[in-house]
Amino acid sequence: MVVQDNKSNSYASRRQSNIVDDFDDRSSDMCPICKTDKYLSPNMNFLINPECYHRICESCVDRIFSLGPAPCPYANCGKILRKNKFKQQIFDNLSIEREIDIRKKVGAIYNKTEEDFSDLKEYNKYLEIIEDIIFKLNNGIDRDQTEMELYTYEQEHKLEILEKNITESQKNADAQKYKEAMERLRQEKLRFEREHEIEDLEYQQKQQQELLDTLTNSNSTISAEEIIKQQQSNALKRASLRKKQLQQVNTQLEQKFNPVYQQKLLEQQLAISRMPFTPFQGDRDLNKLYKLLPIPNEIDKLMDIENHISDSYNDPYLNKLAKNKEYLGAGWRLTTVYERALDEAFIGLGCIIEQEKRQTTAV
Amino acid sequence: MTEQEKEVEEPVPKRVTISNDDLYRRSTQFELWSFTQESLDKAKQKANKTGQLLAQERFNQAFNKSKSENPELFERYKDDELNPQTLITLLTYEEESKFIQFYCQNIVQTTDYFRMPTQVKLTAISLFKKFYLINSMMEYHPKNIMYTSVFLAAKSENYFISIESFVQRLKDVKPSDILDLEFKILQSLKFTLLVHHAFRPLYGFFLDFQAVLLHPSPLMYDVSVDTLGALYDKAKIWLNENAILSDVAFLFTPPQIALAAMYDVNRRVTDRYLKKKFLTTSAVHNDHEEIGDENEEPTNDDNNEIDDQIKSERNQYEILVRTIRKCIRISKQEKPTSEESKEIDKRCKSALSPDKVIERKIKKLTTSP
Repeated sequence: MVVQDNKSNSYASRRQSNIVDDFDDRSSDMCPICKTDKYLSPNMNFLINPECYHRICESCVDRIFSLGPAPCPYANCGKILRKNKFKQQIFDNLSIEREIDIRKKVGAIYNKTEEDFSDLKEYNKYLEIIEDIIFKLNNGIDRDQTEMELYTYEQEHKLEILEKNITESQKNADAQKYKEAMERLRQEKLRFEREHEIEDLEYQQKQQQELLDTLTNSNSTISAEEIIKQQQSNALKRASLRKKQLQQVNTQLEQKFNPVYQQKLLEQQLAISRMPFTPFQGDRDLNKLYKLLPIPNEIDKLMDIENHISDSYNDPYLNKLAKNKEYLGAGWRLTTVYERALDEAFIGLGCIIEQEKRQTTAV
Repeated sequence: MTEQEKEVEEPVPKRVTISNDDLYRRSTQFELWSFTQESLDKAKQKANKTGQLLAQERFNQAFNKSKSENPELFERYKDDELNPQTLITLLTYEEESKFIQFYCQNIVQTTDYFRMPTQVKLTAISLFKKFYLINSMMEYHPKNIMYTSVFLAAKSENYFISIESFVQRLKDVKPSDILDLEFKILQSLKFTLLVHHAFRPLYGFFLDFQAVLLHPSPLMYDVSVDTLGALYDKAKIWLNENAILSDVAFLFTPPQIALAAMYDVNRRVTDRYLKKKFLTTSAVHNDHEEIGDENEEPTNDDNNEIDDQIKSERNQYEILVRTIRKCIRISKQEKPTSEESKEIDKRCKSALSPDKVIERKIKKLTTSP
């Protein structure tokens, strides 16, 4: 749907195709600047610059760009390149390399995640916007305009982007990034306050000007003092309002990003999660309906069980099993057998089906 | 800020205690396979009705087919011998329930023949019965369903027997007969294979009887470990004879059935046990009165509380005993005789294959003028 715009941007597309042609011009692994060949000096490395993606060997980069920004040595290019932007090529295909770079750049600005949207549809719309931008940038359609849009978006949503970065880095437990983001947030806050101050100052000056104007043009019905009083009370009101606003913004930011506040939230969640896991949404009632008699569990007693169960359960069949060393060695215990049988005896004893089922069908 | 504070103050979710009875209430046995007497009857009737409709349809097809083959014969005898009303056989709901009981006896014989554990036998019966709560005999003949239930129960109760060796020892059954039905049965069961039987609670009660009646000192002069053992054995026989053939497993919980067995075998001992077990507060209170009122005069509040407790205990005890008695009554319904079941079997077969009945009739009419 966007490709149709191609004609109107013939300049951009021509430039695009130029680059692509240059990409293909790599028949030999040779630096076009110094004509060093990979065959003769196998240690040579090619670097590229995301400005124009022309391949230049490392030594040329050192030679040309050490003294500061310089134009690309390729003929017909002439883009100003900086040394610190040069990087190793990751993908063999330069068009892919370039798309990945664009993706990275756009992704850093449009960095919302699915959680930020109320439903999937909204999120998909957002992703569609991102894809459109990437496509345009990658294919040189409305490039300047798109880049302008991207820039304005970044300016407008600076705070949001930062916040998102912080939460994301927190999620990834990236302490370093988190610190950085916190610092930037602090600066952002300072900037915000400064802006406010400047605004206030301007406002005051304006007020004063107005006051003077009214005083000079005033008729005698209202005394000068009253006008001044009114002005002052207005200013006071505004100041308190301003203060409140500032505080609100601050606390909001604080709550979102202050580690202490985060800790509090976490503790709350922990308190809930610290409750023992109960598969039936409740704790088991540990009061059993029966009292377990003492059951012999020591080896000597078990070997001579008939004489040790005067105050315990007596089941001739199990008595025989209890002496079986193979069973004992495998972890078989008399207690578990008795306990399980008794548990089963009382599970469901109090369920009167006749009543309960009638109730449920009545409901 | 206030909103946040509210969130903080939100109480930690209240703890709920889950009793063992609640656990039972979550079992499929309670949720899917427990009924009141009326709803059980209704389920059976519904299965019977759908079976009747199917049989009717099957009959109509066979009837119309043979009618189109020799129309003049049908025209001649249309009022008596070949009247569709007299020719069709449909099993009634009572006949079906009797026949189910008869086949449950067959299951007992089959599992005994294979020397399978009791657990397998009980589960097989349970699966078989549940299958015919959903389906009708007029749709599936019980013979193969029975074998499949046994085979399936053996698998689910961890007493595996391979299909070849299983079929080898049976008459006129192919492996496919059983394997084809297996999934149908599972589907009807809604894939619930775990069954809680009364035998394990019975053993538990045998142990708890010892704990309550013999410890710390014997409560009754004529009760010892040996008499309790005898009682336990008799109760097992009672369950085998009465409970497993009847519908009690649908109407009562396993512990209730186990207690019913004990109660019917020796009412005196079981009642003593139940009283000692479930009327604890009143027993304690009575003891106090016997000692004398001089020690401490209980306040009115205490009295009321204890009275309430006694009342609720008494109530519980009475409900339990009533349930047990009812369970005994239902368990002891009469069993079908083999003549009866043979008759039903004949009718069942003719309901399943009306074409053969009509054919036979036609043959009879054409050979004897």
